[in-house]
Order: sequence, then structure tokens, then C-alpha cells
Amino acid sequence: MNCERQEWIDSYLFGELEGQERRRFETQYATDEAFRAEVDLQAEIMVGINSYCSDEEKIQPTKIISMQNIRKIFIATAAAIAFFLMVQITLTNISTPQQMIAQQTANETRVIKDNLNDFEETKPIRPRHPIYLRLAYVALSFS
Amino acid sequence: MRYSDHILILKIRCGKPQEADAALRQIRKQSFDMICAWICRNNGRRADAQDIFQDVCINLVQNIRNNKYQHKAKLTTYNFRVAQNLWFKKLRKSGRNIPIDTFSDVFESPINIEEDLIVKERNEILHKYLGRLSQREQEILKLHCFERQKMSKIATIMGFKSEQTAKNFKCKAMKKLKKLVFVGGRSCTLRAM
Repeated sequence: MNCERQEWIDSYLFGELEGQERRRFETQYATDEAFRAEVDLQAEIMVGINSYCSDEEKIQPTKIISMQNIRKIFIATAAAIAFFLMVQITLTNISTPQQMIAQQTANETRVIKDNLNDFEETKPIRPRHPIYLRLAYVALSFS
Repeated sequence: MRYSDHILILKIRCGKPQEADAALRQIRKQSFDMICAWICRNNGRRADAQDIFQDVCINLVQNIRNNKYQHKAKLTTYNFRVAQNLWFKKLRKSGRNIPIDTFSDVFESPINIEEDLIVKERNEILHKYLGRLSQREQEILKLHCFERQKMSKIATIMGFKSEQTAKNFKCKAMKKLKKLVFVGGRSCTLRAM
């Protein structure tokens, strides 16, 4: 079959033939058995190509979508974790007025306690005599 | 004039509205009586059958135009199966009982299973041989038949020197496929006989 004939059949099957040309095609289709078989085979191939391509299209987008989904899920999880960490850090740094007052009071108490400790540390410690002096003192008191 | 199933599908897919109408008229001639008889035997009337057939036609046209239709059986079988499903659904919704005989009727439907098997097998053969074509041959056939691009555009997309070169290449690819399908399909038909 030559290419022109194939083109002719193609254009009929795509609905591009009109008027006289179309009628000529249909007459030949109705009368010529071989031509009829040829047209039917070409139509079958075209329908097959369509279903083959739509099958491929059905498969490919699912692949892409699944990869995209994985990427999306990964990014979303990472973003959620990062956000959670950031919120936690900021919450520990930022405090409410009540917390600030409580913290200030705690600081002040700590200062007072430190001062007290300092005071305790600075008060004179009674010197401890060596053991022989203490024993001598005890002996003297008995005598 | 009576067209083959494939031509009817292509007429619905690519044809003008009048051509699609003519194709649907032929489909009605082929399938309606069968569907109507079955619905009348299963608690239905002719008016119900007409409603169901209308839905069947809408479903068929939408599926073909949205590239969801897979030609794995004859059009009459496809329409009959869709009609059966729609009728069962309607019966369930309306609360009417589905007669027990209906289920046996599904298996004793007026469908020629052998012919359907041949259609299915030929379709599989076609898919197999399409997969055996080179990448470029597959691409040109896809661009021409599926995406319905003009030859001048196909030449630019695929980097051919001219439109004529693209046409010749497509022609060769088509010839190759036809030869493969013709041989494979003939063996399939012979096996079925």
C-alpha cells in the first residue's frame, strides 16, 4: 500500500474528508472488499495505538505522582520537625510577665542567700586548739 | 453502510458531530434490542431500557473521548455489560428486588464470548508489536494517531528535515506494524477456529 493511500484512509478516519472526496471513499469502502479490509485494519491499529498510549499515560503519571508524593511527604515532615524545634526554642527563651517576675524574685532570693552565705563564711571561726593543749587543759581542771 | 467497531470508535473520537451521531445510530441498531430484551426480562419496561441505553451511550462517548475506553471486547458486549450494571444499580436504588434468575442470565447473555476473546487477543497482539517498534517509530505513531499532531509539527518536534520525510517515516512505521499485526492476528484467528 502506498503512502498516499494510507494518508487518504487516515484523513477519512480522522474525519477530515469532505464532500465529493468523502463520498468517493465511502463508495469504494462499500464496494471494494480489499479496500474495506485495509481500512478496517488501519482503524484497528489506530484504536490500538490510542489504547496503548492511554495505558502508558495512565502508568506514567502514577509513577511521577508517587515520587512527588514521597518528596512532598519528606519535605512536609522535615518542615514540621524544624518548625516544632524552632517553636520549642523560642518558647524556652520567651517568657510571660508573671514568669519574668517570678524569675526576678528568684534571682533576688538567690542574691540574699548568697549574701547570707558570705556573711556566714565571714563570721570568725573559733580557733581549734591542738589535742595536747586540750588534754593539758583537762588535766589542769581536774587538779 | 455498516462500519466495523474500530471505525465507529474513531468516528466518535475524532469525527464531526454528524459522524458521531451516525456512529451512535449504528450502535443503537446493534445493541438496543439485545439490551431492551434483557431489561424487559428483568423487571423492566421498554421505557427503562431507553433510559438505560441513553446512559450507556453517554458513558461510551465520554470514555472514548477521555481516552478511558479499552477495546477488549466487541462494542455490543461492552454496551451490554454497562447496561447490566446500570440496571442492577437502578434496581438496588429503587428497592426493587433483583430476581434470582438475573444472575444466571448474566452468564447466559446473548454475547459471543469467542468473538470477544479474538478481539481481546488481537488487541494484546497489537500492544505487543507496538512495544517492539523502535522508540522513534512509537513516538511518531503516538504523535500522529493519539495526539493528532499535524505532520509539519511532528517534523519539527522530531527533528526531520521536512514534512515529507516525516510522512515517509510514519508510513514505514505503519507498514511495519500492519505487517506484524496481520501475521500475528491471522494466527490468533486461526487458533480460535
